[in-house]
Amino acid sequence: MNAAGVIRLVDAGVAYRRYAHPRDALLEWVLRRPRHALFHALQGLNLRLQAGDSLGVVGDNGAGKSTFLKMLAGNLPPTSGTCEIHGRRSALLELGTGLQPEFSGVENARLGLALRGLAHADIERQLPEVLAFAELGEFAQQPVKTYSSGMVVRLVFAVAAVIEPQVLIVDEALSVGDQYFQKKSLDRMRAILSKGATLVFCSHNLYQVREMCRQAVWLEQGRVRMFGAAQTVVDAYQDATRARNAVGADPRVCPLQGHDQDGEGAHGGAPLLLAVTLNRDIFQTHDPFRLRIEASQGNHPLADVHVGLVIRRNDDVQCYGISTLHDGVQMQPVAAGMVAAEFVIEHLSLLSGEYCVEVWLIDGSGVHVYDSRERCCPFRVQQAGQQQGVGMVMLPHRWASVVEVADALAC
Amino acid sequence: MNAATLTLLGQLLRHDLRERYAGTALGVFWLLAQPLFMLLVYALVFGEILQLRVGAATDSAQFTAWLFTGLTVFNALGEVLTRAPSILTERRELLLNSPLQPALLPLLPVGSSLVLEGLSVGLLLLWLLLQGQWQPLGLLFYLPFLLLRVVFSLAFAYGLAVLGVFLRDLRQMMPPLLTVLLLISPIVYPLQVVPEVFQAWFAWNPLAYLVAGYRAALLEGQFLWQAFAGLLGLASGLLGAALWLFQRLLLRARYVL
Repeated sequence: MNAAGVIRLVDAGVAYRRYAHPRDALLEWVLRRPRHALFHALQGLNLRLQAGDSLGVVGDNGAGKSTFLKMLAGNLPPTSGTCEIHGRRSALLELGTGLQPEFSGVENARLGLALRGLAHADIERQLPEVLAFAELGEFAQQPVKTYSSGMVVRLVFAVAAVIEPQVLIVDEALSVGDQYFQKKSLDRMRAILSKGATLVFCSHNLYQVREMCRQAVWLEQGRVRMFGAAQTVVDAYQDATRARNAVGADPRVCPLQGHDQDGEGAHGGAPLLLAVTLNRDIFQTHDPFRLRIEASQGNHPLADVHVGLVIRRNDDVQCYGISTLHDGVQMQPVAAGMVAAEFVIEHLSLLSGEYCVEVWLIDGSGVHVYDSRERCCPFRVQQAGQQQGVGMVMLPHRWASVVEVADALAC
Repeated sequence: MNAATLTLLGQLLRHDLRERYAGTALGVFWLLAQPLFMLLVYALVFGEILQLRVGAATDSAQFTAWLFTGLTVFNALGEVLTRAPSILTERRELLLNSPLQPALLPLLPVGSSLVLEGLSVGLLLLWLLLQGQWQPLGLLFYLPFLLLRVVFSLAFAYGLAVLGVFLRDLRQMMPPLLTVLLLISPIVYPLQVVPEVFQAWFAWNPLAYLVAGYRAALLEGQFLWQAFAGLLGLASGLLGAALWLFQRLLLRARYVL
């Protein structure tokens, strides 16, 4: 039991052999003469995770993330090195793979559970829970080919998560679900984590990676570019992406992209942003800055509704971002079902330029986003004559006397 | 093989059968309908028109039973031979994206051939019972030959499944090969009608012995010891070779799936 949940990779790598034609692979074996081109999808991975660890996986498309997850899921044996995983694992990989479109949700759930190593009695015992979690309603008996992609992800996630694995591997799939289910599945992942399971989570939503995972690995061209604390790795990855994007003229697409609002009608209980108001639209450096955010509380408790904001310059540079969650304050009820927060900077230290605000309505775990507004409240900052600095922000400083410095050096 | 693997195998087999006949009126009985139609054709052509008989004192009903026994073996083997070359490529998604053991997949055509044979033999026994030709020991002597048929099937299933990944033409070649096999084996005609000069060639055909074993057991209540021993050796050898090939080539097959 001790070893359950432990993942150990020693110099693991996956190389695909590419053949011009399938028969070449056979001819090669018979004639003992190479006929393939090697493609290294992953190389030299060394990694050790303890039970209860959570590992985020970030990287560009084609960096080897999917191969990495497949290897961890046990679908793909490493071609070099070793990949040891202890304990029952359950993987949610690319959407819909392994589903039989002609069969009903129930049938597919049975097959999914059987593929994860459950015997008949266990399957029948878990099945009601899977179906309850997936909330497919009468669609459970319909062929999967009639499902929307959101329903598919609900089914697949329910199967992967309900069996309480010791190692849970989740690929990009979650972003397809509606808000309500995203929150539900993220909560489920946290619950599984808190029971001591190991989580490997891959997402392009870097915010979620940072909030869900303690550690992260950044893959680049099949190798580990960086491995360490999630915050550090995600920041480094984001920096690199920014540096690359700065070359192009296109405004960068925010990784914390808003979600489609489909879920709203069906699950009217989600909090929504109502108004975001700024005290003025032209500031001078050092002027007071007050941003008021109002939101509907939905059917969530007050502690589960938080607001985050980011001030951006018009070249998309993030100047500063913070949330009520991270500052440990709560939004305040102002009317029935309405909450508000006011963000105040007594002396705005931004220098001249054009700015706007991004507002995020998030849940109490900081992972799930209920609602967001991008580029709202555009405002302009001007520098008065006496404030001559250049750049984005005025940093607190002073000019020391030269004598003082010499003294300091002498010490 | 533990309980979980058995459950998975059962599910895969059920899906496999249901997938093929989803939406059809007869469902899984299509597995039987096709061979029955062929039986009708052969019985008409060889039994009624050409008046072929096994031995002197047999009527057309007995000839039909004799024909049906032979076709049962042949169709069960044919099911495996036609399905096996494509079984891995058909389940590509499942193989690459789930922790499914690839060695389970070749069991599917063997499983469906068992369903087919079960239906056929059930029907045959019913027919014999109605005709008063029921052999009390027939079922007992039939089981060893069923085992032989399954071992042969497993050998072909594993061998063809993995080779079929590399040689995609195999699945196209199977139906004509089966027709040839049917025509060169004493299945739809008795060996006696073959001219002396060719009979030596027929002695080399293992399928002839297998069919003879089935017929002796089910129709005459006899057990052909020699045929059984010889075929058992051959079948085990083939199965060993096929499993070895499957293991050796499996990793390679993943690259070109």
